[in-house]
Amino acid sequence: MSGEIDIDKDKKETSRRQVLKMMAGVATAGPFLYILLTMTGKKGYPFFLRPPGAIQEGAFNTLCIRCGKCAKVCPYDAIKIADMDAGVAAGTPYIVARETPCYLCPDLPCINSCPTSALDHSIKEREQINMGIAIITDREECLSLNGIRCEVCYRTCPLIDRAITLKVHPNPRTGRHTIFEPVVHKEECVGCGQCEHNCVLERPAIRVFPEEIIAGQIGRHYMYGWK
Amino acid sequence: MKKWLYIRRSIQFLIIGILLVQNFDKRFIIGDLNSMSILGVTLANPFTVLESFLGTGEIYLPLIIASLIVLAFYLIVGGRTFCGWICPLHLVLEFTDKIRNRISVSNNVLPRGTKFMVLGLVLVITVATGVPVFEILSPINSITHAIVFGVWMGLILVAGIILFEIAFMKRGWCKYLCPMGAFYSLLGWLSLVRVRIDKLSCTKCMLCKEVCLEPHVLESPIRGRHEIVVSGECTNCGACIDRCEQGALGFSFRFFTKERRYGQWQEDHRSYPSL
Repeated sequence: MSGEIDIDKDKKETSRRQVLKMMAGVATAGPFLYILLTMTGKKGYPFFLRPPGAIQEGAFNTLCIRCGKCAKVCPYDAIKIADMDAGVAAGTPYIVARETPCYLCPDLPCINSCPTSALDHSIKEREQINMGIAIITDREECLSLNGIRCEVCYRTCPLIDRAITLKVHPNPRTGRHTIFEPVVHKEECVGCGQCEHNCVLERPAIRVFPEEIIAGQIGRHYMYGWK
Repeated sequence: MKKWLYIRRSIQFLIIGILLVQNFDKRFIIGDLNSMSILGVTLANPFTVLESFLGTGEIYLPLIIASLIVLAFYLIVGGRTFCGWICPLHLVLEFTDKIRNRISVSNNVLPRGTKFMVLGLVLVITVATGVPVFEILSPINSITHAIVFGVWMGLILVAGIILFEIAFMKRGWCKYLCPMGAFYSLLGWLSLVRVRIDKLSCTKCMLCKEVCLEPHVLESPIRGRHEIVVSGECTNCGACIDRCEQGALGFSFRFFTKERRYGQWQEDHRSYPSL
């Protein structure tokens, strides 16, 4: 038995030795906290594409109890869990559409597995999902917009002809061909990320973002005369 | 001899096994210690649920049921049974303590109420900012998530705690800092399964206090003020029961024992001259 028995009595006085020890303690703990804090939020999560049915980002981070069951029940392992460097969102689920998109399972296992209301349980149909909105971020690289018959995003969209439609117009470069332009309709798009996943470019020209990042909103005081 | 230690270690490793096995088989058990589905029954950690409720002010009805099941369980088996038997961080820090005993350096103590202050602070911050602090900076979550999902960065926090304990404070995290433990201590004041000391065979050798994580909880039963441990901070780990050479300690239900108050102690004192 080394040393005396620790009977855990609160010491009344603090000696100089103890103060020095405490300072040494802070000096050891300091670097760890520093590493932790510098990692927090610096690496790679510009935004989170949340699993289907996720509520508003701020409330989501609080309501989600970080059990990760949605990630475990996802049959495609599309849902990942954020690491400590995600700051407030540490431990919450997210999807990287380019790696594995949401395949919109008809029985919505992720929503059903969520023990909280962080994933909205009132969603029963996959059309009700609103994870985000797809947008063609690079119109100059998009093959379809260059007049090539690509349209992979249109073909692979689970809501083909609703979320993405093709708009045809003449190709001014050749003067005799047609450009089949994929057009995303944000009312219909659920943000599953199939288009981003399947885009044939090395880096996708079409991407999915959470609605609050890219969707415009008309002011409440403003109205169209014809609506 | 070390019966309870072996039982407890099996449970602790079983929990780690349950977390680990999800990486290979997701049919029967999924989830971490915040919420777990076992064969379709959803359980939720009441402290986590409390935090999420305080942060947003809303709660999902099945979640209340899920956490009440767990709450009832700990009200029976003892609040900090979570610490002693379930928490993987506790297991890690128990082995840290063994290393510490070899290379023992300095030991410091903090006031025992510190963890309740930490708990209060965590809850106040959660209410004020809506950020569930102990969800994000939780070393328990760090370990479970490292096992279940392979996200490793939170282990830096765990490593920091291990170094802190080796260098400065014997079991400092569990005894003085963990708000989860503080929450379960509050439950522990009411719970039923208790360590009981048989007054007639106790020789007051204090070996039980030597092995105890929270030695002050044994104070009142050793002195005969109560028959059982009344403090909520007992983790029901059973180390004291294993250590006692007289077999004077054992688990007991609160219903079956009389919680003797100070006046009765004087009576006992007269009737049992061996004391």
